[in-house]
Amino acid sequence: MKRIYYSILCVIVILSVLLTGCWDRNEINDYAFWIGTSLDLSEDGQLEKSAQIAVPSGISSSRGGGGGSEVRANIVVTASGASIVDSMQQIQDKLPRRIFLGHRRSIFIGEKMARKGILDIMDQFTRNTDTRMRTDIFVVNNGKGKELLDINSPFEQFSTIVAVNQDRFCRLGDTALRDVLLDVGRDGIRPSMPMVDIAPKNKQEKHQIIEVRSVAIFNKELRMVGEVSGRESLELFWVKGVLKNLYMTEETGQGSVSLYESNLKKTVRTEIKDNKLKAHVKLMGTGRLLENNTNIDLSVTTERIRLERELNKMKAKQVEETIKKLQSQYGQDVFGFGEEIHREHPYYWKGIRTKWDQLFPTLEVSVEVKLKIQSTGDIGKRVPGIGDRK
Amino acid sequence: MEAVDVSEHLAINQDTLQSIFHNCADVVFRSLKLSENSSILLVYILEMTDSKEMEQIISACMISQDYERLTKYNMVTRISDIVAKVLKGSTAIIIDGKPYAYIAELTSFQHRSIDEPSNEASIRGPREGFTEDLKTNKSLIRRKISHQNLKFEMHQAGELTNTDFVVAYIEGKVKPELLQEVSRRLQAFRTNQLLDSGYIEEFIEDKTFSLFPQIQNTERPDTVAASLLAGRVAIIVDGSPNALLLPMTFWSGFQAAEDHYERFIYVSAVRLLRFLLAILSCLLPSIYVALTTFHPQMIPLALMLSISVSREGIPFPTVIETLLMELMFEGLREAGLRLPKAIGSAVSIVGALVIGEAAVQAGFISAPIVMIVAGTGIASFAFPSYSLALPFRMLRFPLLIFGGFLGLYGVAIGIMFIMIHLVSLKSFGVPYLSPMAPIAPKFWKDTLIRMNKRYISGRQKQ
Repeated sequence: MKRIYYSILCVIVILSVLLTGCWDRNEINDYAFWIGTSLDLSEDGQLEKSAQIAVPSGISSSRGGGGGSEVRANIVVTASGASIVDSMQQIQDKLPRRIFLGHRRSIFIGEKMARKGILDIMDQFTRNTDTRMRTDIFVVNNGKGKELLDINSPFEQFSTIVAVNQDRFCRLGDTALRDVLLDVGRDGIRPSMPMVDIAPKNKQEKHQIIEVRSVAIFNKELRMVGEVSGRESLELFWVKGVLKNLYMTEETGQGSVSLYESNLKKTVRTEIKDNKLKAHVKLMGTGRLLENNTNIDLSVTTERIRLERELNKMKAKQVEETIKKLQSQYGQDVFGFGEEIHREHPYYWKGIRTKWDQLFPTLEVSVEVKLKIQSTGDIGKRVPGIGDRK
Repeated sequence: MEAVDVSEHLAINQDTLQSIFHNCADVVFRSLKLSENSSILLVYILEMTDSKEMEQIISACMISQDYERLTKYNMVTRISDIVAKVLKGSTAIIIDGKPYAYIAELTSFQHRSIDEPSNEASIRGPREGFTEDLKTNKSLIRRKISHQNLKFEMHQAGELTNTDFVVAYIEGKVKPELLQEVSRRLQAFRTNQLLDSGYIEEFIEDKTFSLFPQIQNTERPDTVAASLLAGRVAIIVDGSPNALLLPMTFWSGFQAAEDHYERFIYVSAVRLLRFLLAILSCLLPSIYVALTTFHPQMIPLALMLSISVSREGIPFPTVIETLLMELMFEGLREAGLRLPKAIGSAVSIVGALVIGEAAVQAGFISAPIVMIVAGTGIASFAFPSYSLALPFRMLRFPLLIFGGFLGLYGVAIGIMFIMIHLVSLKSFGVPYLSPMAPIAPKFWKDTLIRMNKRYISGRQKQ
């Protein structure tokens, strides 16, 4: 009798494993790997979503040394709809495999879309459990996101991954969806994200190339209000505290000096005097000399300190100007000064947090830069014999 | 027969013995008439006796009629004792007019010489292994531990085979309770055959239906000596080159004899490697299946795409594919083990080329599966103890099915079941996973890693 009970129990256990359980089992080659997303504004004002989908058979034939065959390892599928999920369903309708978002590497937002505002889009990214917070996010300068997905890069099978890698190695650091979402959730900082340009073709580069060189600035409603590029964008990220290293070339008056600065740090002190807000920024970095087109012999300590002081003064002025420009032109606190005030004067901040967009342009910012030249390279003087020590 | 004493009349004795040994062609009866009124009878098995020594005895008896010379041998008074001794290879000398017999141990029979242990080879350390001869085996251990506290308790089991076996231990080192438990279990079983130490193992182990071995076996006298010194008990069976060591813990299955001869830093690293490979040998296929079919998020994109490329156009689901290849591999191993050496290489060629290369080329099997199976195979060879590798080999299959049905969740359930079993398992009162569970950090110096011997001295003092 006992035996029968045991065997019934066994059957029940086995059946419960076989008949229930997570039946979300899916073979790997029944997935369509969604590598990159682009979001654009279509001509009739709808949301246009494109997906870069990996095509495994394309990867194998291009790996087999097909000799420059034009087989692409990905396809770009576009759909337009009222919402992100709606267009995602439409994209699924066009694919023979189940779409899989878990490996999406980046999201490209067309400039038009960004200027219209991306508040409606962001909710889906935070709610969908398939989204990775490490996904990179870009604004495509003067173009549509889809154009970027269409690029056929010589380095990688996916232009999306090219953009991600370039973002990592370019000077602007690495901005992921997570960073943007953190900034969105705060009162004292406005989000900013890198912009990619699609560089034109030329004779040497058969394929189109991607360039990351500017930063898009957003306001509280997640509408893109402007961009800064080049040196100013680097300074923006330095003050924000996300820049890790930078190459800088400065004109000293007697010739130019190039430095590679790493260990970049910033500290911000804020004070409130007579209801006036003041911020004092201190930027620090240590680095090495890469190029010296002056006649200064930097192996001499006194000379080097003199140059450091000069550079610091010049740099401080530049950064101050950049901040001032951003204050007057866009009025958006992408640096996070508001957060510093919040941290140092929490009670005062409660009173001004809703008015921060109006107060930020009136913030007085002073900048102090402390750059150190730790290494001057192999030789002291520019060329032996010129600029000898007196 | 049992109750019969040796008679004073030689003829009666001869009749009794001859009726007992009726149709035993190998038993020889040799009567010698020494003088008018005295004769002796020798009963022995020809093939098991040293004939030279016997001739010496005979000539001594005949020429000098010097029975004093025989008094150095054991005396028995029962026929049954004579029978038992003769069957073990001794020679019974029965003298007319005496109600007893002398038993001369002139045993000499063919056996294998001492060889290097083939299943537990080592680079450094002694090279001798046990043979099938109990006496040789005992002497091998005694040579390593020359102390009067090393005891060999003689036992006999098997109603038909009458096999000798010894229980070896070091008095003072071994816990008396353990010794009591061992002798209790040895007395509890009845069998009429005992051909190998494996027979005893099955009778005295704690849980017969466990996959895990609860008694260690070894071919190496040095391993036995080290275990005895650690307070364990060894059982050596006549006719078997494998000694049993008990109690066994999970960790002792991962220790090679060489671990104690090589320098400890290297040994510790190798041991950690062994544990890693042990885990791999059990989990690699199931984790691969679980990750690729349930959790593709957890595989880096580049790897994912590579796997995806190689799986393009494969007809079977990953679970079935893995299961097929694992079965094939186990089949290959078994085939290679049993075949004559000359054909063995043919099997490996067929296995490697046909099943590996051709199946991938033909698109039946994806390349990563071949790698996974090969990796699992290599990992399962890294166990120092063959008996402990077996459960890992077997558990791979249920885990694979769990992983195929329920993903990592299923693998976790499977591991949980195994852990529950392991934790509840005991070998002669010692928890199988000790000193890890129950936790006893004092004894960790020779488990996962091996500390320098200077720091393990506490254990030797005890």
